[in-house]
Amino acid sequence: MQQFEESVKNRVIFYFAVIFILFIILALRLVFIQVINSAEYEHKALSQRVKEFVVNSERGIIYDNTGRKLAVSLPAKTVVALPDNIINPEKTAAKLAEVLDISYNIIYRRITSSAAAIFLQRKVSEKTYQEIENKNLKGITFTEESKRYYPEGELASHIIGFTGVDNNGLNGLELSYNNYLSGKAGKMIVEKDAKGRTIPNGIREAVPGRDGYNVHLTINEVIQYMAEKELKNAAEKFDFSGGSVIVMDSSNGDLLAMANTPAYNPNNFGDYSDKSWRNRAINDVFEPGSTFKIITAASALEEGVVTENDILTDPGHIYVENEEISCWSNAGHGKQSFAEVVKNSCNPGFVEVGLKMDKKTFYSYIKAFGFGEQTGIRLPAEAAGIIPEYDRIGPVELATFSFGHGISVTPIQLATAISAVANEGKLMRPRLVKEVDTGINSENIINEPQLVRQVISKSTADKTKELLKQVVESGTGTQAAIEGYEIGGKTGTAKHYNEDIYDSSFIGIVTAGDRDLVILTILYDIKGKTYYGSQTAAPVFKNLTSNILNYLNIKPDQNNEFDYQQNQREIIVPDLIGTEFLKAETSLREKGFNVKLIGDEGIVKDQLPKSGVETNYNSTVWLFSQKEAKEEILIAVPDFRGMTGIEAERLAGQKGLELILDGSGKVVGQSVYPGSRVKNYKKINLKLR
Amino acid sequence: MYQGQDYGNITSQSNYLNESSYNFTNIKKQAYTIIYIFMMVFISISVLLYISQVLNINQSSSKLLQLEEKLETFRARNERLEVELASKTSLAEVEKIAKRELNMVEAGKKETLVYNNQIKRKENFMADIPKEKFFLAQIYDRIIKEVTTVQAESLE
Repeated sequence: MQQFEESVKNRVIFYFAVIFILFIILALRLVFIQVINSAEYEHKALSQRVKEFVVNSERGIIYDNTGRKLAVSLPAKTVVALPDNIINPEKTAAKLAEVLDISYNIIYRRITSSAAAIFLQRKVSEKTYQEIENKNLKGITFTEESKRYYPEGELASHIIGFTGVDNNGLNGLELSYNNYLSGKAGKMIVEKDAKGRTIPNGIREAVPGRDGYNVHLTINEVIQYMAEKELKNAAEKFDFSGGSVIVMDSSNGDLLAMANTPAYNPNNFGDYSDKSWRNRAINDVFEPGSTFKIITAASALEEGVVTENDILTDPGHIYVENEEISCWSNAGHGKQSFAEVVKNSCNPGFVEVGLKMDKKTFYSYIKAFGFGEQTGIRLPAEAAGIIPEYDRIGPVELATFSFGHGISVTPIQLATAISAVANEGKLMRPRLVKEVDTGINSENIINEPQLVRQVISKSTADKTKELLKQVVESGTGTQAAIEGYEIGGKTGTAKHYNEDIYDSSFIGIVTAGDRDLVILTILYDIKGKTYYGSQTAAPVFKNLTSNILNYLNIKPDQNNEFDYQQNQREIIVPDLIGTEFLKAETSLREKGFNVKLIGDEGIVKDQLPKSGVETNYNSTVWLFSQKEAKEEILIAVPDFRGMTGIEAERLAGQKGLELILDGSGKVVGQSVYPGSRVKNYKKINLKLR
Repeated sequence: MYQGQDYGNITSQSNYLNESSYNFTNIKKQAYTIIYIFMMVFISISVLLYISQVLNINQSSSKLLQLEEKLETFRARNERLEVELASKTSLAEVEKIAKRELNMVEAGKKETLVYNNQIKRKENFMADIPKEKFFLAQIYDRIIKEVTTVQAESLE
C-alpha cells in the first residue's frame, strides 16, 4: 500500500515537473514575444490594421480679374480592377466595355493580369462612375483623384493651357505657374477593421499637405470673349490661317485679353491638333509691316532728326544702294510733310527718315522698345523675335526696318512697344498674373506693374499719338474710326516672300477713362483679294473696340472732333555758319525751328538747308561742326517733273539740293532719276520747256 | 436516551447575544457587508457607466466619421454644382441660349443719343411795353394767372 502511494506521488511530481517546465518554456516564449521581440510583432499587428494614404493636394484655381473661375479642380473617380476578386472576367469586361472608352480586349487583358490592382480608366465622368456603380461588378472598385476642369471651355484656352492626367501643367499658365498651382501632397494614417472600415477612436494621424495657390489674372473674361468672338467672325469673312488679338492697358502693362484662332477646348485638348494649342501671340513671329512705322516715327522724333513739319518727297520709290524700294502707292505721294508721310503710310518717306538716323541710333531704339528679346510675360516658349545681327545691318536693311520689313516680332512685343508710346514713353512689362493667393497663413505674392525703361520722352510720345490719330481720322486707318472717340492707330500689311499670302494687322490706341488701351489685331496668312490691313484687321479692331468701350461704359463725346492742325506758317532759315553751336541752336529754336546738331560742339561750319530758304515752321535745320559731315549726307531726289522752275528751286532748297535750270516753263526732265539718293553737293540739271 | 443539549435553555444559559462584544462584532460585520455591497454596486455601476461611455464615444466617433464622409460628399457635390453653374453661365453658353432658344439677334448699328444740357435755351425777349399798354398787360397777366393756377387740396 505504501509502495503504491509512493508511485502515485512520484508520478504527480513528474507530471508537475513536466507541466512546470512547459510553463517555463511558455513563459520564456512569452517574454521573447512580448519583451524582447515586441517591436517587430507590434509593427506586424499595426501594419494589419493601420493603412497609410497619400492625400493629394488640390490644384489652385485660376481666376480672371472679375473673380470668374477659369480653371478649377474637382474630385473624379478612377476605375480600379482587383483581378483576384473578379469572378467572371468575360462578363465583367463586356459590361465595362459598354461604359468605358476602352475596348473589350484591353479590359479583359487587364482584369486577367497578375497584378493585385490595376487602373482601368482614370478620372471618369460622374455619369460613367454612376453607371459602373449601378452594375455592381465584383472586383471593380474606385479610387478618388483630382481632375482639372475648365468651366469656360475655349475661353482664354491659349493663356490658361492644360494639365496632364497626373495634374501637371503641360501648356500655358498651367505649365509656367505649375510650382504655385500644384501644391504639396499630404499623408493620412488611419486604423481600419477587418472589413476596411475606419475604427472610431483608432489611430488617426495626418501629415498635412498644402493645396496649390490660387492665381488671379489680369484678363477680363468679357473682353476676352469679345476678342475671341471677333476673331471667329473674321474667320467667316476672310481666308486666313489664324489670328491674334491683344488688348493691353498701357498704364500698367495689364493684358485684358489675348485671343488666338484656331482655338481649342482644354477640357478635351487631345481632340485638337497641336497647332490649335499654339499661343501665336507669344510663340510665333511675323513681319510687322507698317505697324512698325510707329517705332520709326517715335525714334526719329525723339532723336530730333525729323519733325512732323519736315518736308519729304515720294516719287513712288526710293533707291538705297541700287535697291529699289517701292511705295504701296505706285504714283507716289509727291511732296509731303512728315505728318502726311505717317498719315499716308508712305514707305519712301519712312525710308528717308530711317536713314537720317544712323544705324546705331535706330538699332538702339529697336532694342529699347523691347524687340529681339522676350518680354518676360512668363508664358511657355515665348519667342524673342528676329532682329538681324548688328554687323549684318547695312543701309538696305536699315531702310527696310523703317517700314517694318526684314525683322520679325511677336504680337506681344509689338503691343508692348506701342503701349510705351501710349504710356508717355514708359515701356511696361506685360502682366498676365496680378496676384498669387498663398492662403491665410502667408502673404500673397503680388506681381506689381514693372517699368522696364523710359524709351522716349512724354512730348515725343504725345506727338506720335497725335500723328497716329490723324491716320485713323483721314489716313490709311479710317476703317478703324469710331464716331465720338479719339483713336490713333496704324495699319500693317506684310507680304510673304514669293507668295501671294499676307499678314495683315492693325494696332490702335484708344483712351478709356484715365488710361489708354492698346489693341492689336493680326490676321495671319491671308489669301484672296482682300488682304490689306485697312480692309481686314482694321474692321476687326473697330468692332472689338466699340464693344469694349461700350462694356467699359466709356461714353462717346461728340465734341471729340479731332482735327490735326499743322502750322502752315513758313519761315526763312537764317545764316548760322560761323556761329557757336549753342547760340545757333538757341537762335533757331527761338525762331521756331527744330535743330539737329552733328559733331562736337564748337563753331557751325555748315548747315542744311542753306540760309535764305523758306521752309515750314518747326522743320529741322541740321548744323555741322565739320563740312565733311554734311557731304556724307545723302538726299532723296524728288520728282521735279511738271513743276515750274520756281517751285523746283523752292523744293530743292527745302530738301538741301542744288539745281541747274535749263530753259523755261515746266520741268520735263532731270539729270538724276527721282528716288535716287545723292550727296547734297551734287548739282541736278533740270530741263524746262 | 439521548441527553442532548437543552436548546430551550440555550438563550437563557449563554445569552451571549446580549453581550456587548458580540453585538459590536456583528454590527461591524454587517457594516462591512453593506460597505462591500455598496462598493461592489458602485464599482459595477462605474464599470457599466465607463463601458457605456466608451460605447457612446465609439458610437459618436463612428457617427462623426460618417458625417465627415457625408460632408466630403456634399462638398464635392457642391464644387461640381458650382462648376456646372459657371459652365452654364459662361458667356458662350448665354449667347447660345439667347440665339437658339430666345431667338435673339445681335444689335445692329448703335445709335447714341447725347443729351447736352450745356446748350443755352434761346429766349425771346419781348420788346419794351409802351407805358400806355402797361396797365392792360398787367390785367391780362393776372387773368392768365387765375386761370392757370390750381389750388392744391388740403389734407386736413
